[in-house]
Amino acid sequence: MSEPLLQVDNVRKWFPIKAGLLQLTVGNVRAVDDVSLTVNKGETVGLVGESGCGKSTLGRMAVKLLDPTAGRILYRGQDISRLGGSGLRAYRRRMQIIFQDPYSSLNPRMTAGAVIGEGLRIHSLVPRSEVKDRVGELLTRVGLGPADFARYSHEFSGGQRQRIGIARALAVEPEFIVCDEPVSALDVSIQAQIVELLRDLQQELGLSYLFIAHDLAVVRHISNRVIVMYLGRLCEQAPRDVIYDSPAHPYTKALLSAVPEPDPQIPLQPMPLPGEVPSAASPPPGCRFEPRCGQAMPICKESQPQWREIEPGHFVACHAVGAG
Amino acid sequence: MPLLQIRNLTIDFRTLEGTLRAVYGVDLTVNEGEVVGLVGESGCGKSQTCLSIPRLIHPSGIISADEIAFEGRELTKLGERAMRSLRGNKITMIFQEPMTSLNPCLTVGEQLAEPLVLHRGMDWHAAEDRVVETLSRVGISDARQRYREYPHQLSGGMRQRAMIAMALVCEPRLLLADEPTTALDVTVQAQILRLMLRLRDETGTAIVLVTHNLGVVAQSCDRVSVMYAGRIVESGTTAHVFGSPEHPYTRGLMRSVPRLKPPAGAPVRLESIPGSVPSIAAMPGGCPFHPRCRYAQELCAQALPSPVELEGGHSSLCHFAGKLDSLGVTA
Repeated sequence: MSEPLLQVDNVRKWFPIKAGLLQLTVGNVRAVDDVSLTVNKGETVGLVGESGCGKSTLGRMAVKLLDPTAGRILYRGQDISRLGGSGLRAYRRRMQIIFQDPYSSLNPRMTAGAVIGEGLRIHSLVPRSEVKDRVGELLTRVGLGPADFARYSHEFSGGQRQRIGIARALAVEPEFIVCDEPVSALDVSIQAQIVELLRDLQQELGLSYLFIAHDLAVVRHISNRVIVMYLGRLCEQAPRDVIYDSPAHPYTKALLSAVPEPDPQIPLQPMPLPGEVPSAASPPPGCRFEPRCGQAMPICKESQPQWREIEPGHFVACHAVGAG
Repeated sequence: MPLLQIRNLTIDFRTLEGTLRAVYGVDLTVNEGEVVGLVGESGCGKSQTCLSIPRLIHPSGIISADEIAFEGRELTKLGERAMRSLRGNKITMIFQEPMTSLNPCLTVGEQLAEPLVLHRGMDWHAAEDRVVETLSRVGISDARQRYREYPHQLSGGMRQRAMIAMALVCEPRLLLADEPTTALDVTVQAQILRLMLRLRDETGTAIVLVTHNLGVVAQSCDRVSVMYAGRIVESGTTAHVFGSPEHPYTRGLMRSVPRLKPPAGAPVRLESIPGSVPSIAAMPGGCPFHPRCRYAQELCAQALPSPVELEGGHSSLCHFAGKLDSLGVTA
């Protein structure tokens, strides 16, 4: 068993809904509700789900851009959710995040060099006189060049901006990177370049990724293990090929059946998925997927399914799985 | 006679840097009841081509064409008033962003009934019944209730259904769908694609589907035109273009898309197309794709290829179409 790097332990993130003159809390949006997962050293965990399922909120908690309402986030055994000051700063260096939108995640008033060099200066990783050389190395590593040091973000294309975002994350020599939809804003031919760059960097530097995306084919390509989320909870987790070739949870099946393959020989046969995703402010009391599930049973309305291991490494939260 | 026939369509934009060409000599034919895909990456001109049909491009744009014939009528010669009577009536559009394309200050019903009142001379009462019926047809439950609601009260998938209902309410002959599912989740996308195809089967409406998603094209189009840098580089039936692509760009695109079910023997690495799409202000000479092409030869830098006709109406804008496999490939 490889060593766990990140452990998310029964984490919950509720966003209060405030209303009225006194701004009283009248409810909570349960973006993430009792979720546990582990990322081991050197592996890529894919986290998939549709918009609003809580996958980005979870990713942001993993690098402490958000603090959980309840639960713990352990990085190498240390609870980072309660960390502050210099202790926190040391951890910030070890974990980084790459954002979805390369247009809004780079400061338009900073040059590429300033964006990438900021982390080097804050953490005093190299002497000031060497910052420029190190940034040049990083730019080269992500497929740009030292000449791009003084250019501003608007001078770059979307794919190039995402390369700057990756260089910025790499500057502080992290061990763990949350990739939050890193390729979904990019064109198809550029997506492949960035995905392969991320894979090469992982091999070279021994990085671990939590790779968040809604594109199931991209996730299959890059991940070792895949986790499926629906309305703030985990549905299923399994090694990559297991989840794609023999999914167990009805939602995973519906999701996979809806992906159009770029091959007219493989007809699209989406499973019916009636209704809409319920509001995360008033989720169904039993299984979150019950109102839309073709296999729902009376028990699914009443109690939340347990997270069970149905075969080694394959976990699922569904009353119907294995129930005969 | 095809429903829509475009020949040699060129679109220029007047900008501060001079006149820039976004679309070069595009030909497109759409028959009754046919779904035709226009696929390509951002900036390839696919949306402008589509928008130029009902003349909805930015005012700085200049459309010129040998022919844009719809039901045999020449659209480029049509006055603004006559064009307005076609838009939202016989030719309708679905846009990518359902939130920004619906008016937030009007109820869903008011926006959907408007074309009926304007084009069909219906009164608002009769129009309401027709709109409610259309809303139910696109799978919106409680249609009578939704009629009185505002766009913000609907989910993303619902809004896109409402947009489709708006495009269908006058029973158009031609539906122009510009990235209709790009902003949607994959399960909703599957539902919307199904819905569009079902409506085509029921009413015989032809659809031009603009998208960057090869999966969407493969699953819904009868024919497809692949665009790159303002030109159609390959076109043909979906089976031909996907089964035996004969333009290096189409091949590159297909190799760079990860598959949900990778075919046996698929390479472990995705093959990306090196470099990026040229800016329309700095088009390379010769074939516009040659700087990124793994098959490029000397000729490609010098001369713009002319379309090569292959079997069954399949054509490719490449000097070496039909002979690509015999060329040495630079890795």
